[in-house]
Amino acid sequence: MKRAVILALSTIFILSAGVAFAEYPERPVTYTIPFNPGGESDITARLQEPLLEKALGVKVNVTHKPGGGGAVAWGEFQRAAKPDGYQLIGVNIPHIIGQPLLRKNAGYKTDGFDFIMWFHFTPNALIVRADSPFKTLKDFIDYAKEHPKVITVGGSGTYSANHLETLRLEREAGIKLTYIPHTGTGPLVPAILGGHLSGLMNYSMLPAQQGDKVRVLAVASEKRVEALPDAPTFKEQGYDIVGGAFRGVAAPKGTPKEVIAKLADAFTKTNKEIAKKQLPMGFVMEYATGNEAKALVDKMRRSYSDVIVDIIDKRKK
Amino acid sequence: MMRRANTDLLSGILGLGLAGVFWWGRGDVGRLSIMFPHALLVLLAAFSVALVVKGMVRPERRSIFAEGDRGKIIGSCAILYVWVLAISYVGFFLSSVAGFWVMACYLASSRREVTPLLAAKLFCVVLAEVTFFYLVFAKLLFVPLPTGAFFN
Amino acid sequence: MELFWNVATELMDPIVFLLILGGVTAGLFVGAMPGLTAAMALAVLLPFTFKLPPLYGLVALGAVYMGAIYGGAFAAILVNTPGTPSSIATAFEGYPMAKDGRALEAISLATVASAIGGLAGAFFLLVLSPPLARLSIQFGSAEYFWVAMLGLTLIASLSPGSTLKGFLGGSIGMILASVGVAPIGGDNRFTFGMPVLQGGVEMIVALIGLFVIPELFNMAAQGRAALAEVTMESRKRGTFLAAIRTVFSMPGNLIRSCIIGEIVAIIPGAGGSIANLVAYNEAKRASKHPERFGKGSVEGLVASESSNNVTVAGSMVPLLTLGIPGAPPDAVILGVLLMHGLRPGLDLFTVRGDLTYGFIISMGLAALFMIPVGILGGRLIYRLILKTPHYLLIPSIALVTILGTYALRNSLSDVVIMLLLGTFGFLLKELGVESAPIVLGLILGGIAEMGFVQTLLRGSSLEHPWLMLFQNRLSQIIIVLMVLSFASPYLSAGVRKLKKPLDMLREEEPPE
Repeated sequence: MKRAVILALSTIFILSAGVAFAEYPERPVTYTIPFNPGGESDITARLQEPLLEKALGVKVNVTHKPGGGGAVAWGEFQRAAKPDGYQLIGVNIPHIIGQPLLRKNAGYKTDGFDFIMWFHFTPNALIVRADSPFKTLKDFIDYAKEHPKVITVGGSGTYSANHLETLRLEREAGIKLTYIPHTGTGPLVPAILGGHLSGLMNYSMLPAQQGDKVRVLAVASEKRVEALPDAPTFKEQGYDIVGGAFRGVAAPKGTPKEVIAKLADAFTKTNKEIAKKQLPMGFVMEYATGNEAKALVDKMRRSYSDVIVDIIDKRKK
Repeated sequence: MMRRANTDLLSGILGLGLAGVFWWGRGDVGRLSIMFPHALLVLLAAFSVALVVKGMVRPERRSIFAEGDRGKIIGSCAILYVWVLAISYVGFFLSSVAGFWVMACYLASSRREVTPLLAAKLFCVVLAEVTFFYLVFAKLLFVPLPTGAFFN
Repeated sequence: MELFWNVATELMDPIVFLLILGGVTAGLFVGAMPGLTAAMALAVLLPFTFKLPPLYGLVALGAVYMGAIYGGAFAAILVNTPGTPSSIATAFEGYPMAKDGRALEAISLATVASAIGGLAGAFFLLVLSPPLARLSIQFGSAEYFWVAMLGLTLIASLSPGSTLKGFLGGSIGMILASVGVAPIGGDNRFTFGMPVLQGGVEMIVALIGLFVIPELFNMAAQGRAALAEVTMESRKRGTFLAAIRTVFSMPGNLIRSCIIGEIVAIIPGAGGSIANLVAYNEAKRASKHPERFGKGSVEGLVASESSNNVTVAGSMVPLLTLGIPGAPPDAVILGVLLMHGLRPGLDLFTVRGDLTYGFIISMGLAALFMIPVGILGGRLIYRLILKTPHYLLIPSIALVTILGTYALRNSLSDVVIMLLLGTFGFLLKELGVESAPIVLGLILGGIAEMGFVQTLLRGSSLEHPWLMLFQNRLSQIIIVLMVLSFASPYLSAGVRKLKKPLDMLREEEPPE
């Protein structure tokens, strides 16, 4: 009896491992998220998973490989993933731009991916508690001009979108703030609601979620965000500040063009579906595929280059 | 070990060694990044020195690695390392079947003679167990287990 | 209140019961495997819950979460390896019990204690959410730093041999926690030129290595399996009714552990890994038989297991009222809420009360379901481990450990780190430096660093930034608690000496 079971099990195993090549996709696709479960990247991937499976006709396995703000997974991916379209990875701007420039030995290169698509954008937003004396961006900046470094601004991570945006605001407005990094968006909520910080530079999802407990002074997007119709943009108030986190998906460098195109197609279809759920949460949908996807990386790299140069200069001193 | 070891002195020296390695490996990093680890290294060194001093003044002596067969510790440790390191070359499945089987035979040898029949029986059990866990992790939980040169 | 009863009757539905039963069973399996975490289980389950109505989805997730935190006790009792960081203290007492042939008794007690903890957590969530939520946001960076320091005072009681060695272990743990990208400052530290070390030493990886590997080596050296056959006397005490009687014979311990669990749970970022150790420590301090701790004390086991299951529903307080995920599994549940268009806040308790109360009640039900599932499952796992000869059991544990460690972050480097730390931990253990303080240092190191550096930054416009650490009333309270906690063993020793000079003679006796 035992033998029979073993035999049966090993047969199943060999059958499932056996692979025949034909038109892509033939077998399950692995989709790695370089962050912890429960974050924005993970939630997006979980929404995409069933729809992608429908579009591609094969199983899509979402797995996590957190560590080093994504760097561990990206490094491993560029080193070891086969460019056959069966291994995909979530990518984030500005992480993949900032880390290789600012860290010694981040273990990967910004251009070492074939980008399939950028599917959404979460603009940065300058947020204060509802009862804060800062009613407008002008109040905030005026106060900061008179009291350098007194205003504390919390954000998620160091050299992250939040951090770089705070530095850009300092540059554009000629003020000095104190940026305080936190590990992720979660700890920022008690920090602002408990009055431990003067304000936050975080993504548009946080005010969409917290509702009238907080006030948004400015959003770093081109147009107002659908979920926050009353929140003005930086541009409306005279500051050319547009930025935040873009999330997308990439394949290893050298993946065949047809495969990339097919995947881009599937992700585009998926994105249209999940927009219904993500728009009210404060996301801004994107549909950058092919050359556009590559161009977006270059554009954001240029737009952050000033601040990054500043950081590097400061560090040399 | 027949002689009873001065555990205070030994653990103090180990702590100092560790502090040294980390001090050497701290690299060139910014003030904010290193202020806390610096404090920790100083603490570690302080506790280590305190232990060394105690080890000289009023040592706690006891026999270490005294329980059981020391050879078996070194042997199973070696098998475990080879098993894990082999995963990246031959994949999870092959190295686990091999590592598990070798370890089972090695440990069984202390109690009874490992006849070819017993080895074969063990092999079947090992194969079944590794296959079971492989299937649970790879096919149920979708963990992408490392693949090797030969085999998934 | 009417809403509450409506919801409660609505839940009396076979599908809900099936979901809870399945969820608790799956969670138990996940929790019992070192390396598989509640967060990972919830993430795997997530796509399935999209296909269910929101309430069913939440019921399933809550049940898995509850089961996983409880399941950690099995590995802790039977192989001296906390299946999750929430059951570290369970291993201190549960494993010595199992070695003495009291495995089934330990499992029954852990089960009953966990169920009570789970029910208490759901009750607190139901009735005390708004005030607890207000307390929860009082914790700023300075308070976090002091909470971590308060936690470090536990080292004294976690290192029975030498306190000095305990602190050595604690500082080793904190330094290991600082490997990788600095949380503030963003530079790579202690990576020794290896990009993969940017990810640092994951606490659970270290936990597995430091607990499992030394145990494996010991088992190999002694050529024995982990457990002794259950004795007749213990079999009697291991029945469900006897376990209930035992657990309820210590009401003070239960109430204290549940309150500790709840307070730790509402501090975002602390969670079950700290709650079980604090409750254990307090149980030891209050106990009439502190000398039994570490040798199979029933009180310690009950304290650990009841407090950690309180944290499951407890961490839902800041999550449901404020949208603050305190632990990784909570982040997954927050994601589910948001995806169903549910915004955390008091609205959840009024406008969407049907859903929220349903979720809370189902967590209570899940706690009750743990009793049959746990007692049956426990017996099964116990038999399996007992009947397996040591030469198969040891490599089996190694296999599960390797798989679990790998699956945590899909990283083979983590497996190597686990093995290296385990070997190192084995050496340290032989020298009298226990694993528990090292793990405690790893848990608290990150919290302490974040709190410390954030506070200094917040004070950077002041002349003396470090004064920020002492400014808040809550910080000052925690500092007082910390000093008391640190001094109490010495104080009580002093009191004893004054009272009974004769006891001095007994203390002169050499240990063992």
